[in-house]
Amino acid sequence: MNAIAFLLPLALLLGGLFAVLFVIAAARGQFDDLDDPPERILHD
Amino acid sequence: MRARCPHCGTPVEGVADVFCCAGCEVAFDIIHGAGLERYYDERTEFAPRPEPVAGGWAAVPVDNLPGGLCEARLRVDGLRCASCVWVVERVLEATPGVTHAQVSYATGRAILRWQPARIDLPRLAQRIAALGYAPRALGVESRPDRGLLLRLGVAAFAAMNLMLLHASIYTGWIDTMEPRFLALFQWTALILATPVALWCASPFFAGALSGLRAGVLHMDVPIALGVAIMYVHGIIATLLGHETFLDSLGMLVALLLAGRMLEARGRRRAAEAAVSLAASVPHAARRMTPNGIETVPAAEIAVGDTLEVAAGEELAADGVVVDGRGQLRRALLTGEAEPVTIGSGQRVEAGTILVDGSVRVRVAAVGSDTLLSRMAAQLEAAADRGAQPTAADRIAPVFTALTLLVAALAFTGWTVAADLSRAIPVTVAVLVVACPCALALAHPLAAAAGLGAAARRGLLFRSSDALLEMTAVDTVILDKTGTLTAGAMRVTAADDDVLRVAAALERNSIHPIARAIVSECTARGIALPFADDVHETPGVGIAGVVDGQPWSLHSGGAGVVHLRDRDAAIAGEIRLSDGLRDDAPATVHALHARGIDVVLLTGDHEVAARRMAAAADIDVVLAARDPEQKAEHIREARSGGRRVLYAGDGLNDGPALAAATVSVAMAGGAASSVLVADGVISSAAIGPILAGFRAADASRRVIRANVRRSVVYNIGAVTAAVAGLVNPLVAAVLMPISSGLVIRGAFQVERLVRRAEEP
Repeated sequence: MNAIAFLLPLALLLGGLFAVLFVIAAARGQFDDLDDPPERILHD
Repeated sequence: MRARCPHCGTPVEGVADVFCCAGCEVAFDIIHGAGLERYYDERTEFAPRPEPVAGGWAAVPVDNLPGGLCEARLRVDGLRCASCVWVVERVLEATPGVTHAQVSYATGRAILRWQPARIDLPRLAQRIAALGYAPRALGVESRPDRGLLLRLGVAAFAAMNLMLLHASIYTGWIDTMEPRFLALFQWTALILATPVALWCASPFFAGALSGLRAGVLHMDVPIALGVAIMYVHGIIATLLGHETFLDSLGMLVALLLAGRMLEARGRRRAAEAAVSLAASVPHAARRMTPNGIETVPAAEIAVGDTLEVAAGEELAADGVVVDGRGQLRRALLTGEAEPVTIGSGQRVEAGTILVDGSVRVRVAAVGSDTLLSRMAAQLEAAADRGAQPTAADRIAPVFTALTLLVAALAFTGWTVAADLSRAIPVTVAVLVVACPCALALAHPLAAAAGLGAAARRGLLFRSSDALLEMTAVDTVILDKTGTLTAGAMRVTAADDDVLRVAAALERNSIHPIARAIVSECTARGIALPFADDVHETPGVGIAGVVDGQPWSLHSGGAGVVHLRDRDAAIAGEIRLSDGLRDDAPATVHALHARGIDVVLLTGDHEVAARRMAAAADIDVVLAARDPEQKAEHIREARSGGRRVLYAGDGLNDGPALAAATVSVAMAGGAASSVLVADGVISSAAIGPILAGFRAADASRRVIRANVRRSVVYNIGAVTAAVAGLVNPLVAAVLMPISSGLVIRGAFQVERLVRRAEEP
C-alpha cells in the first residue's frame, strides 16, 4: 500500500502534464479551426 | 471527346480545347506563370468563369499590424473543391509583397497579410477575381472564445481523476482503508476540486450573480448554489475526515461546461454564417471630372457629383438622372421584379441595378443618407427583440424555491426527529442531488442538435428560441421576388439555334442578360461557337460575326431579346424572366401536408403574382401590397391567433420580417435583412424552410422527453435524500446516469429529422 503514496502524486503529475499541454495548445489557437487543416494536408 | 475550355470546362465548338473567353485565358496564364499546373490535374471540379472585380476595394478598411504589415479578412465565393483553395493560396503567396495567405475551404474565409509598400488590397482582390473566384468584403466578426474550452479541459481532467480517487475511497469503505491513505486520497481530491470550483465553474457564478442583480432566478442560480454547497461541504468534510461529494462536483461542472460549449459553438457558427452571407462586393462608381472619368470607391462620392452608370451596374448613391435612358431594377427596395424605364429628371436610388441602357446621375444623397441605408437602419431597430428566456430558465425560479423549501423542511424535520449531526448531512444531500445538471443540459443540448440539423440542410438560425418557435407556426407567408423565385433573370424560352448564336456574341459580356444567355446555353449542353468582330454598343446592343454571318442582338422590350440577321430582320427571340425556384412546388406541397397555410404576399402586381402562385400551387395570393401593408397583414394574422413564419429577401421586407413570429431571410438578399432575421437560408432554395420545421419538431420532442427525464430524476433523488438514503456514493452514481440519458436524447434529434424526411 505504501507504493500508493509515491504512485499517486506521480500519476497526477503525469496526468497534469498533459492537462498543461492541452491548455497551452488551446491557448495558442490549435483548436480554433478543426475543419480546414485536414483538407490542407492533401495539397502540401 | 468534346472540346472544352481548359479552365472553366464550358463546352466549345471544334476539336481542340480552346478558351471560351479572355478571362479564362488570363486565369490559365496566371496559374501556369506561378508554376501551379498541378491544379488542373488534381481538381475535382471545373473552375468558375472569371468575372471582373468591382473597384471599391480601396475603401475597404485593413488592419495595420505591428512590423508595417497590413491584414484583411475577406470572403471568397466560388471555391468548389479543395484544389480551388490550394490554387488561390499559392497564387496569392507567389504575388510579390504578400507574406501570408490562408483560405478556409469550410467557411470560404481568407486571411491575407502583405507589405503595403509593394501591393495593396484592390490589386489582391483583382488577382483573386482573375482566377475566377469572387472576393467579397466581410463585416466585423468575433474571434473564437477559447475560455470555455480551457475550462472544459481542466474540468474534465480533474473530474476523471476525482472519479478515480473516489472509486478507491468507496471500495475502501467496503474493505477497510488505512486512515492515512484515506486522508491522502481526500486531500488530493480537494486539491483537484479547487480549480474546478473556483475557476472552471466561474461562468455559472458570474451568471447567477448577474441574474440575481437583475432580479431573475435563471438556471445558473441553482447550479451555482449546488457547486458552492458541494465545495464548502468538501472542505469541511475533508478536515473532519468524512466522505465528500467532490467527484460529483467535478462531473457536474465538466458536463455543464461541455453543454455550454456545444451551445456556444452552434450560435457562433450561425452568427459567422450570417456575417459571411451578408458580405458584400465593395461599391465603386465612375465619377465625371473636368479631366475625364475616374473610378472611385463609393465612400468618396459627394453630393453634387455626376456619376456615369452603365448596364449591369449597381447605383452607389441616390440621385437624379440628368442624361440617358435605361431599365432600372428596384427589387431590393420595392420587391418588384420587373425593371422600370427611367429617363432624365427621374429619381434613382442606391442599391438599384441598371439592367439596360446607360445614364448619368447627379448625386443627391450618399452613405447613411441614402434611402437604402435609412431602410436598413429602420430594419435593424425594428428587429432588435432582445434575448428570450428558455423553457429551463422559466422553471428555474420555481425549481430553486422548491429546492430551498424542501431542504429547509428536511433540516427542520431531521433536527426535530433526530439531531443536528443527522440533519446537516441530509440537508447537504438534498441540495446536492437537487442541483439541476440534467435539467440544465436538457434544453441547450437538444436545441444545439436541432440548430445543427437545420444548418446542415441549409437553414441557419441565430438562436434556438426562433427554431423552437417554428413548431407553433401554422402560416407560412412568402415574398415573391427572390424568395419564391430565384430573383435573377433566367432564359424561359428560346430556340437552341438562336441561343447558340446569342451566346457566341455575349460570351465576353458582363451584362446580367448576357450571363443568363451563356449559362442557359451551357446548361443545355450546347457547345459555344466563336464570334469574330464583336462590338458592343452600351444601351443599344451587341453585334458580331458567327459562322460567317453577321448577327446582332437588341432589346425587344422588357424581358425579350431579339436576334437580328444581316438585313436587320428579326431572326429569333429569347425570353427571360425571374423564374420559380426549382424546389418551390414540392416545398409548398409538403407544407400543406403538414397542415400549414401558405400565402404569397408581394408588392408585385396581381397578374404576375397569380401566375407564380399557380405554378407553385399556392392558393392564397395577396398582391400589390406596400411594405407597411405587408407588415400590417402579418400583425392582423397574429392578433387573430396565428403564428406566422415570414420569408423574404429585400429591404422592403424589413417591417414584415420584424412583425412575424419567425423571420427567415434569403442569402443573396439585402445584407441587413440577413443580419436581422431569425434565420437565413444559405442555399439558393426554399426547401430548407421545410427542414427547419422538421428540425424544430425533433428538438422540441427531445427537449420535452429530456425535461421529463430530469424532473423524474430530481423528484426521485430529492425524495431519497430527504429520507436520508443518499450518500456521496449514491449521488456519484445517480448524477451521471441522469445526465447521460439527457445527452443520449440530444443525439436522437438528427435521427428523428432523417425519419421525417423519408417519404
